[in-house]
This record gives sequence, structure tokens and C-alpha cells, in this order.
Amino acid sequence: MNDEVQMTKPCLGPVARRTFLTGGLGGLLSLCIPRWQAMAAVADAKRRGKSCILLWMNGGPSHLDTFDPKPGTATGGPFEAISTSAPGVKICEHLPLLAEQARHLAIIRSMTSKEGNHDRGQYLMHTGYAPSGTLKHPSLGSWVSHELGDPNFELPNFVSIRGPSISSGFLGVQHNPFTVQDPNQGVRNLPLAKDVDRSRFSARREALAILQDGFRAETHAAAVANHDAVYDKSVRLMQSSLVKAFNIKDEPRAVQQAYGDSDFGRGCLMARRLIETGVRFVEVTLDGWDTHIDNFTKTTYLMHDLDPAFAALIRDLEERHMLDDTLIVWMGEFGRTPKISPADGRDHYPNAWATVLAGGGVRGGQAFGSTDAEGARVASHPVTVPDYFATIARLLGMDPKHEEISPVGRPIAISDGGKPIAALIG
Amino acid sequence: MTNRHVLALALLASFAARANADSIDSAVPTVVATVDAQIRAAWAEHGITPAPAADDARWLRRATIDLTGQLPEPEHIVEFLADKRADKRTREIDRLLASPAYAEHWGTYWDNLLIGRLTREAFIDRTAFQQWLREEFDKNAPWDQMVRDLITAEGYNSNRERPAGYSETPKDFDERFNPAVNWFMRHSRSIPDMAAATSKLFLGVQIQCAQCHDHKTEKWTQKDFKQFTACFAKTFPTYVDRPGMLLKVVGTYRMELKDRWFTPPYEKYETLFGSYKDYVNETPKMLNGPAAPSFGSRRVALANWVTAKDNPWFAKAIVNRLWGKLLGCGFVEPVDDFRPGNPPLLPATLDALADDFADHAYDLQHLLRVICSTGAYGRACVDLQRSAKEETYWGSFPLKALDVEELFDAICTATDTDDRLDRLSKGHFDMVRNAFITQLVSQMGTDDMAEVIEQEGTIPRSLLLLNGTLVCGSARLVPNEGLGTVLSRASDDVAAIEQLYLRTVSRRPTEVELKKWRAFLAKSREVAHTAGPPASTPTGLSALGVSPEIAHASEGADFTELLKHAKTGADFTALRKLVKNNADGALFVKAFQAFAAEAPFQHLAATGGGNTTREQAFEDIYWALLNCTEFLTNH
Repeated sequence: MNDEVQMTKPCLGPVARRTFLTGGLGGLLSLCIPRWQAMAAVADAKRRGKSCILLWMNGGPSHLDTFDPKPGTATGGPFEAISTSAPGVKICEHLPLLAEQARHLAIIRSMTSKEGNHDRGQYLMHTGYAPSGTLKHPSLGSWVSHELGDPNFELPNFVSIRGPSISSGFLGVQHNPFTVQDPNQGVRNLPLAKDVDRSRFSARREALAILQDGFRAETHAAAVANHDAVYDKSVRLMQSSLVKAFNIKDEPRAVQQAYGDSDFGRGCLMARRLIETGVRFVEVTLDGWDTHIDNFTKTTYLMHDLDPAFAALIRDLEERHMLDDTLIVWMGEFGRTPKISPADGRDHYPNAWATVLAGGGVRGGQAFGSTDAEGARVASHPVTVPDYFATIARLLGMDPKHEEISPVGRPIAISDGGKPIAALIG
Repeated sequence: MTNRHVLALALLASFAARANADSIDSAVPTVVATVDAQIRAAWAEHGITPAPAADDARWLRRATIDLTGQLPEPEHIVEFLADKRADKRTREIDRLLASPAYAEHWGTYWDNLLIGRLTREAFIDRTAFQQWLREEFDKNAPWDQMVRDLITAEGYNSNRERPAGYSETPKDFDERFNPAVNWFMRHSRSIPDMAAATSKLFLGVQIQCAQCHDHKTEKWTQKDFKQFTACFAKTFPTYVDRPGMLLKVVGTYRMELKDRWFTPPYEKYETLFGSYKDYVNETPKMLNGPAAPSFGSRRVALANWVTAKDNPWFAKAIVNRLWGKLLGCGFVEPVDDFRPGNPPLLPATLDALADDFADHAYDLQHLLRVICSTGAYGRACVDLQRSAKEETYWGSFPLKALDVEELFDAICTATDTDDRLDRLSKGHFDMVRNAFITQLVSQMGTDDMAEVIEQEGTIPRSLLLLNGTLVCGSARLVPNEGLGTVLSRASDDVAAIEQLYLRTVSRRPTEVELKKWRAFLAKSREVAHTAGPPASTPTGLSALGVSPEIAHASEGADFTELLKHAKTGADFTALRKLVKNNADGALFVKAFQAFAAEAPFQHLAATGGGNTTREQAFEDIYWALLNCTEFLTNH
């Protein structure tokens, strides 16, 4: 758009670039991956470090009806528990495909926190800190983008699918989540508008340059150059071959079907494609867990979407030799009350609840910690939010104690003084 | 006619009455001279050569956006430029302060700060609260009174009637309806947030860090925080309708908020009142101030203390906030972070403004009139080329990104798209506007409470402007709207370009620019006709029908499943009737907003369009004007 702005050339980093040039994006993304190429991808992933997929269960999923079942008790509800590929570990009957993959799962049944309000809980579980008005803490995805992401990567390093996430706080807008509202549509507004072909788009940019040059001459404002720079970046994205990663329709039908016929499933498939292309952190939201009323019907439907998607994601990553370098985190903002309300619902419950980690070097095939017979209190190995964030940071190869200085001058660490839990790390 | 238009008309009547009374005090407030002298002294002392004065067109655009959130109308720009009176800027400020858009704009600003753009809560009647704020700003309620009303509000949050047969409406429902309680309802499940917001928004004092730990360098302790929060510990809401949670009606829970003699049953109803637990046994006490009396309302005592003339922060906090909003940075930055370790720039100037504001009975319009009349506000927007850390003491006007509401309105009014959207939505422009803004805010992935401004770094936003349906659709040639009107009325190309400039960047083009545009128009080009991206919502006749999955839904079909099939307006009308509870309601609203933010704009982007080289070139100029920094900022 203008010559004054020094635009850095798109750069994928030496290794990733070579892969894309030699293998080609299509080849790399298809199901039948030549072995040498798959191996090259593994080598790349190793060298470039780890990535993370956060499966965000918005609203707060019931631990008792998912990963910490208590069948036959007063609080257990109507669901049965089934055995899994992890010896001795049982989960809800509505997660049969995930049960097959349980050898990869580390189910944490002893999460405990204090925030029983959605806003506050969502903030806490995204950032690792309770909200405090002055300071906007960066969310986990922003930390990953900041610590592990390549600043010159053509795609954003933090993508959030199906829902707003929490912002990058003081780490800066470049680490903000790039939101894809609808996985069926992919990135919004990438194609040229009706009646605008390439040559007309160039004419439009020429017209824009006339105005930008005039305004720059008048104000000497840096904002004009910044505006031009982000427009250049956007146009580069429009023209980048990497945006194909957002097109889940390019996947073989069988792969699409494996993830289930749901937007959440399609989001998970998109997440896998993005991670494969080099995006560092993808968050996929499954909304609807705030089941104050009619908990069991709603949870059944939600698990119907969750089960194939989560299971296919693990299997797919494993087949592509990417599971060891991709940490999957399953969580919501809190658990739900053991007591079943007269409306057949469960309310917010932060005292004792469950999350799941998989891949990324997690020691799978275990249930860590436990709750009492009613699922009301943590009975063993309580896991605090700082410890949980420290564990995730360590798994991703980040130092949990790493600090950045916030605008108020206070250093903020990735984990708020927590310690990684050794038993969860493989 | 849109709801906003209806409101605008209603307000217009009072506006006209005021204007006719010729009671407008067009004098520049006296404190302005003091402020100007002190700032000039700062420039001299720090060796700053201030920017020259802004010209009339630029000043008019700036003041109109700052005071009303709107762009100046092209006809008015022309009149203002031709006006030879020496006091025309002072008169203009008064005109803007008295306009209906003033109340609308500041109501929205405070609604976003007090409740938050993305907040959707069954306890909050958003519409009632917005309406209340608008009316307060329309009658120019004194700031101390408005803050007192917010802090002490008691009564019913909503005046919505239940359908017959559900539950009885209390007899005193209308008298005790008080939309201001909705602010407390926003934080009713977390009273520490209520305390933090009160202190931050009205006093510019941040105490929330002390919720978890004693502040290392500043004075507030956990004890201070607890005692301050205790001011809210005997105020809590109850459901008007019983049994509250089972009410099979969507929308707002009718709640009654009251100051009481006792604390809420926080153990029995932990979900609702759990946040009170840590504060019920504390003695309520002001910050650095007295304890609340043992008898009577704690919140009344709190409001008395907050709005007292000798409160050290109250007047300064709002002066600093508005100065910062209009002039790009406050005396204290961040604008709501007053503390000993963060002293103000030019403290004497801040004091002078705060004293003047208090002396004028906390009159917000007076304060804005003062700020807009200062020499600093009249500087041109030119980068003074100092290092980022060096203060320029407001030696030039900042480049400020438009808020999302301002941006949306600017694009719509510059292109007459507001009228078209209103027709397309059968009079529901407001809903379409809200839906679009909500989508935009969530797409940018930003924090809902903060003022969402144009962030230079966001790609989704620039893609939206480059290729999105709103901008590309608005720039298309349609008869009798936007570009169609301009081209049919303009005598020649130059006149047409001038009109497009007045509509968007609110000035006339320069000679240099006109020369470039003549060359641009003269270039040979092909007429482009491409299909563009496929629409995600049905168009044509199928847009009118109900989708089969919904039309043939079985009795007990799962609502969430059905919602996935909703693609047309008729689908949503049908589904609305199937909403069984609030959880369904929330999903419905979300899905419907996504639809409303999409369908009308896809229609815009597919309708009309230039058919000749000249017409398409003009569409491109319009598009460029809607995409340039000058349009997207206030400067």
C-alpha cells in the first residue's frame, strides 16, 4: 500500500517453510501422508516446540455427569459409568469413543477453585488469575502466542473457534485471539466482494493510497502507517495459501464424519488443521453447559457432540504423529452441584470438579485426585488453578515462573505461584 | 422509522423548545482562560511548539463525534463553514449539547462502562437501563445526583408485565419500577465487583487489588476493601415471581432490590449470595473516611460520602475521565487510577477544572463545554514528533479511533444505509445495529467491559472493512440512496466527489486531491461483474419460508437441535414460540443475533451495483473513503 512501511517478509521459520514448499499444503493435510513426510512433520514439531488445543466447555460442565461419575448414589444422576482403555478408570456412558482413547487421558478429578460466577470463572480459567479491574491478565492462548509463536507467521498464533475468548491483556493486540465464529464459514471476509475482481481490488487500494498519503502528509501520524501495515497483513492473509487450513471441507469425507456432525466437531477438525499448519494455540468452544434446568437431557446432547469430536481429535493427532507435541486441554469454568435441584438441574460448583489433559507429554491413562462419595469435596490431591496452569505451562515447554511486566509495573507470571504436578507429566 | 428515530423525535421537541427560548448561554466559561494560561505555560516551560489551530471543518467533525457520537451532516458543514460569526464554535458546542444524539451517545458510553457490551443476564433489563441513562443525559441530570441514584437505587428492575396466568404483578409495580437498580443487578452475585466498580468509575480509585492482597506500594489493605464492600452487604435482590427459577417465560427475571436490616441467606442460596459471605461481619467504612452509621441505609451513607463536596476524588475523577476521553489522555493515566504513586500532570489545572465543575452544580454539559472551549481542544491533529515518553501537554490533538458504535453509525449515515437497514428489517434497525455491534465485539475477541476501540492490530476488523458486506454493500450504487443520490444530484464529477467527502471525512477535497481523482476517473478500466462469496443465509423466495426441519419438528424436539436449522426470519419467528426456559432463551438470542448481524448485510452486498466504468470508479472512491484512516478516526 505504501513504501514507507517496512513490511517483514512472510516467514514460516526455516523448517516449516521447507515442509510447505516440498510437501505442499494439500499433501500434508490429506489422510494418506507419505511416511517420510509424516516423519518430517514430527521433526518440525519437535524443533518448533509444542502446541495446544483448548476444548472450552462454556457454562461449566457437570463433573459427575462426565469424567467423575458416581452411579447409584443420591447425587450421581441417571447415567451409568463405563470402563475405559485406562485400567480402573470409568467415565460416563455417553462418552464411549473417548473411553477407547482413555489411555491418552489424564483426568483430574480434584480441581478446586473459588469463583462460582461465570464471568469470573471464565476469566480465572483462561488466565489463571481472578479478575482484578486494573490489570488485564493475558489468557493462556496469548501466553502461548507470545512465548512460542513465530511473530512472522502468516496466520495468527492464537485462534478461537466458536466464541469469544479472553483477550491478550497487556501482552498486546498481536496476541489477541483471532476469532472464527462459524467453522463452516472459516475466516470471515476473506474473499473479494461481489463485482470486485483482482484488478478492481487493486484500483480500490490505489484510491485508498491517495487518501492515506494525503492524511499522512497532513498529520505525520504513526497511526496511518499502522493502519496501512495491518491492511497489508490482511491482504497477505487473503492471498496466503496457508488459509486453506481453515477449509475443513477439503478434508476427506471420512475424516469429517469421524469428528461428528456438529459445529463443535467441525471446530475440532479445524483446530487440528490449524495446529498442523503451525498455529500454536487453538481454542474450540462448546457452549450450553450451564444446565440449571433439565441437566441430564442437555448433558446427553452435549456429550453426543463432545464424544466423537474429542476422540477423533486424539486419534487423528496420534496417526499424524502430532499427539506428543499437541496438548489437549478439556475444561470449563467450574463444575456443577452434586445436589440435583427440583428443576432436574445442577448449579454452579467450584469446590470440586474435573478437567482433562491429553497428549502433549501428559502421563495418560490415569485419573488423578478424587472427590468424596458424593462428588462434593476433594478427597485426595487437590489441584489449585495455579498448580494446574503451572502443569500446563511445563507441558508446553514454558517456564511457569516466566514473568512479563504489566503496565502497572507489577511482574505477572504465567502461573500465579503454582507448582507443576509431577504425576501428570509423562 | 427506527426506535432511535422515535426517541429522537420525542427529544427533538424539547430541543426545539430550548433553542427557541433563546436561553442558550453562548459565553465561553471563565475557567477556560485559567486552563489555557496554565497549559500555555507548560508548553513554554517544556519547549513545546504546539500544533496550529484546527480549521473549521476539522474542528466541527471532532466536536460532533466527541459530543454526539455522530458525523456532522453535509448541509450543516457547509453552513458552518460559511458562518462568519466570531462565536460560531461556542454556539455549535451548545447546539450539539442540546441535540438528541448527545443523550443517546453518553447513555451508550455509560451503559457500556456500567454494564458492558456483551453482558447478557436474565437479572438485567438492559433496555430499561439504557432508556433511563438516555433520559438522565437528556435532562442533563447533575452528576452527583446521577451517581447517588445509581448507588442507592431500590425497586423493581423491570416494568415488563408477565403474560396472563403466570404470576401476579405486585400492586406497587409501576411506582417502584427503578431502572437504575439494574447496575446493582449486574454485580449482585459478586458484591466485591460492585465495590470495585463504584470506586473505580466514580472515584477513579482502584481498590480491587486489595481484594486478594495488601497492596505492596499503595495504601489500600484487604481490611479497607472488606469494609468498603460491606457497604453493599445488606442490599440484595429477591425474585418478584415465584417460583423464580421455574418461570417458563423468556427474558428478564423481575427482581426487587432493597436495602435491608439483615444480610442475605448466603449459605442457603450460595449461587445467588455466596459473594456476601466474606463481608457480612465487617464494619462498613468509606475509603479513608468514616464508618457508615449503625442505623439506616449503608448505601445512602456511601452515596453521601462519595458525592460530598469534600470527597477528595469525586469531581476530579469525572473531570479527568472526560478530559482523557476528549483529549486522548487524562491528567492521570489510566484515567481511573488515582493514587499517590501516580500523580497527575498539571495538578493545578485538574483542580481548577474540578472546582469549577463542583461550583457549577456538577453540570456535565458545562464541563464538556469547558473542555471543548479550551485552546488544547482546538489544536490541529499533527504529530509533534516527540519521543513516546515525552509529554506534549496536549500541544496537538490526538488521533482517536472511533468506538464500534461510532464506527457503525458513521458508515451507515455516510451512505444512507441506516434507512435501508430499517426498511429491510421492517423497522427494527436498532436490533440489527445491536446484533452487528455485538458480533463485531465478539469477533474482535475483546473484553466486554472496556471501551472497544479500533485496534490497529486486528486483522478480522480490517478484513471486515476491506471485503465485508457492510462497507462493500454500503458503497454500492442504488437509486436514491447514498451514491445514487450523490450522482443523480451532482452537476459534475467534482461536485459528486465533494459530496462524498462531506459525507465521510466531513470536509471538502483539496485541489491536489481533486487532480488525483480526475486522473483516477479517467483511467480506462473494465466493468467488473463477479458473483462474490456465496451468502450464508438464503436469499430470494426461500428467505421467506420456514425450513422443513423446523416446520415439521416433533412435539418434544430438542430446542438446541432445532436452532441449528434456523436460517430464515420465519424460522426464528417459529422457534421463538418453542422457547421453554431461560437456557433456551439465551441460545435463541445468541443464534438470532448472529442471524440479524448477517442477513440484512448480505442483502445490501448483493443489491444494485454500478454498471459503467464511471459508476464503478465512484463506488471505489466511496469504498476508499470508508476505509481510510481519516474516516475511521476522530482527529
